[in-house]
Amino acid sequence: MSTDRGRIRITGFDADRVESREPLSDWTETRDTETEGRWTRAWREFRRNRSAMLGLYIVIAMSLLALFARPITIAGVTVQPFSLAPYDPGAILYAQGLDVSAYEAPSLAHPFGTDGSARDVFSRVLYGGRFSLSIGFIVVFVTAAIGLVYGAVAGYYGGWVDEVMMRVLDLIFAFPGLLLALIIVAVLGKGYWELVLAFTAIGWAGYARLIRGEILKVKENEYVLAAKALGARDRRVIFRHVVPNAIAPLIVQASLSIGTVVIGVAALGFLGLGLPPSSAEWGTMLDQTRQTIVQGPGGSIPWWVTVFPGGAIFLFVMSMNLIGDGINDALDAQEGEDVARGGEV
Amino acid sequence: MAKTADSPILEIENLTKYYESGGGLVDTLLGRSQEVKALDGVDLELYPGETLGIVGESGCGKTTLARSLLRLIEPTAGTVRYEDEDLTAASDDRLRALRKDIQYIFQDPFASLNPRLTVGDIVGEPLDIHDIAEGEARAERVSDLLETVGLNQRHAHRYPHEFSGGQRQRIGIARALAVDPEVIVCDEPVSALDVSVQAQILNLLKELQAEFGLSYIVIAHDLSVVEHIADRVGVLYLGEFAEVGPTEDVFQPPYHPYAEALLSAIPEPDPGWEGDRIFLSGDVPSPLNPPSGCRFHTRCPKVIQPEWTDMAQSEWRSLMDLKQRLRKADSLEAVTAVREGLEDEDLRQLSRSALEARVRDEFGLPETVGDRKAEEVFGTALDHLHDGAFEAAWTALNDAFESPCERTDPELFDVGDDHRIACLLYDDAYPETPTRTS
Ligand code: SF4
Repeated sequence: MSTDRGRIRITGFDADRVESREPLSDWTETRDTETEGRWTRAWREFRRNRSAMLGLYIVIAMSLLALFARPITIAGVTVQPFSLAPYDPGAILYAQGLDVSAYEAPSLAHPFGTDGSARDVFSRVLYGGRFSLSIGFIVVFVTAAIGLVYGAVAGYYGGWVDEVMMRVLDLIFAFPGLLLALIIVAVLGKGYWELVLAFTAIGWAGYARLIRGEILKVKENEYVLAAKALGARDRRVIFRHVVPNAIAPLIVQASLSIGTVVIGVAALGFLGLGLPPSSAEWGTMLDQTRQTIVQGPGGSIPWWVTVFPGGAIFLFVMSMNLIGDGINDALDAQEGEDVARGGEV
Repeated sequence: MAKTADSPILEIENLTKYYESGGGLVDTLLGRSQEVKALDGVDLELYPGETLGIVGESGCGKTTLARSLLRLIEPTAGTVRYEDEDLTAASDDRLRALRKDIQYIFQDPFASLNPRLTVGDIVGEPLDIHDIAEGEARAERVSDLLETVGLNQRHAHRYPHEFSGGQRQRIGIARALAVDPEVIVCDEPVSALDVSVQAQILNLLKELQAEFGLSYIVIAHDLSVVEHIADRVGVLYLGEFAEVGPTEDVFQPPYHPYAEALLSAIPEPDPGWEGDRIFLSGDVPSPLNPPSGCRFHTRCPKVIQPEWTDMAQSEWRSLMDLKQRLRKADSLEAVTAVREGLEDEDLRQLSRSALEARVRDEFGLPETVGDRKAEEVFGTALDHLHDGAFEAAWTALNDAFESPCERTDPELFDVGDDHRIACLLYDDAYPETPTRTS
């Protein structure tokens, strides 16, 4: 009988004898290509999504059309000489001596007809994309960036910082969004940058809340602690370890809200608070012709003055939403893949 | 032992961490919050080139110890001296610089590597943070490190999810090595891994120690891990050390009763081994309200009997269990054994003798307790129980049965060369007690 404890032997414990490097899985030998990064994978996933790709093509086409609608001149130098739109969007055609009257139905010369001031609707719709699209992209980019930093700081530091920052957010959420935009425009006056400001002022709050929630989750991960243990500064921990793992929902949200912003701009335009009345922004165009929806001169309804700008808004917003959903799916699918792969030992 | 000549590289004194529990702001203001004593005044030294193992069950404060000594969580009190510099007093900048010398290896290699970074960036990150290497030199250092831990440098461009658990842990080790540390704290470095891989990782740690002259603090709940890697061992129970000493000594008598129980739980491959596994009664008590005196007394199989009693240790232990159970009990279900098929019966209807049988059953007490006086006390308590007077029953037991272990918090007594045990059995004031453990 022995009450001496038997020693436990783990085979191969001898330090000098263990040479055996852990064999790496077989792919090492066979496919020695670089691993795809996260975005490459998401893009591959996205490309398989037909409706999202359709949306992407439409948005690209509309952007290009807007870009090449009229020449762009910067400081006297023409940087973009093309002119797809046949007429100057602001030009009142009969004033230029052309044989055109107001509310002319679509024809070969004017595919979308002319509006109440005898301006070529086709040219105006093409050119108007410049306003709607650029405001949409700029506003979303700026708001998402502000929201990201704000939410990241609140979520990462937590405690009192978080408490105060979140109460400020509540304050902003307490305002009805469009109304606030309306007030800002009413106070600052009409104009492109005023519109951008009006939408930015309220738009970032949603992103901030979203990213804060994500960051609260992500910061609990051990790799965040690991980065701190390495001696990383907060800035590095936040922007290298926390944010990249929390940003996917923000990107989805941003792509979906480009459409929302464009509609908002159009809505303000329709209320007469967008850009100056004569500008070719889509919503403003609708506003300019809204009485015609009911009754045009001579009893006929000139549908083309509203249908084409309205259609442009619809087409763009829908395409943006398709893209947003596509991004969502692509990033979601990838998360799933990560988890699945992470699980195997 | 490496320790004799040198002075310690890391010296921890009275390290303490209390967490506020249940405390929202309102609770704190009303003074309602409680403190969880996760770590209660721990002292330890780490000598250059040695491996100090720290073992204990989950919830005993191991991870808190590891993290608060690095100030990954702020300790409530105590000092951590690294080469005569107090970490707890260091400024944030100084602390960041000191992280170059003291590194940390995490338990879970799946959670501790950022899934969005390539292995090269993960291992290279400390180089960036501390401006150690850039460009070519950085790439070279990264591949060196990968080779050192047994990975291939070609894997620098891959992502963590492509690797197995063992490989990931190697990545974690390479990351810790990147800054050329002196001390590495390993928090359960192999517990998340397959048994077959565990030995490889432990071997790697040993090789690296020899190669780079590292000192380790290895946290583990698995004694066999500690036995193989550690030069000295500290056994942690509820935020305090129960036993500290060279590994050899801790794994042999004299034991702290807790360490003995832990050791008995290691599966034995030796068929000649006839020692019994010691089962501890009860769960680890909550650190919210740690037991008085010796923190282990609620579970200790050797808990000391009062002077006047003379009974088998197992009976004494059972009486202590009954007493503890009664303290919180408010129904008879808590102190009686459940009979098959009779779950719904009304225990209050039982006769005095039937109740007694059930209680004895639940606590494994024999027909009569070996000590006459104790038997009387037990009888009185049962009378109270039968009347439904739980308080009175508890008072009766508590007045009669009080172990010195409940009153006195044992300090770490020297039992050998550098071997210390926090148990009253080893206090000279209780000279004959060890023989009483039958
Ligand atoms: S002091 Fe008493 S309760 Fe604590 S370990 Fe020793 S014998 Fe057990």
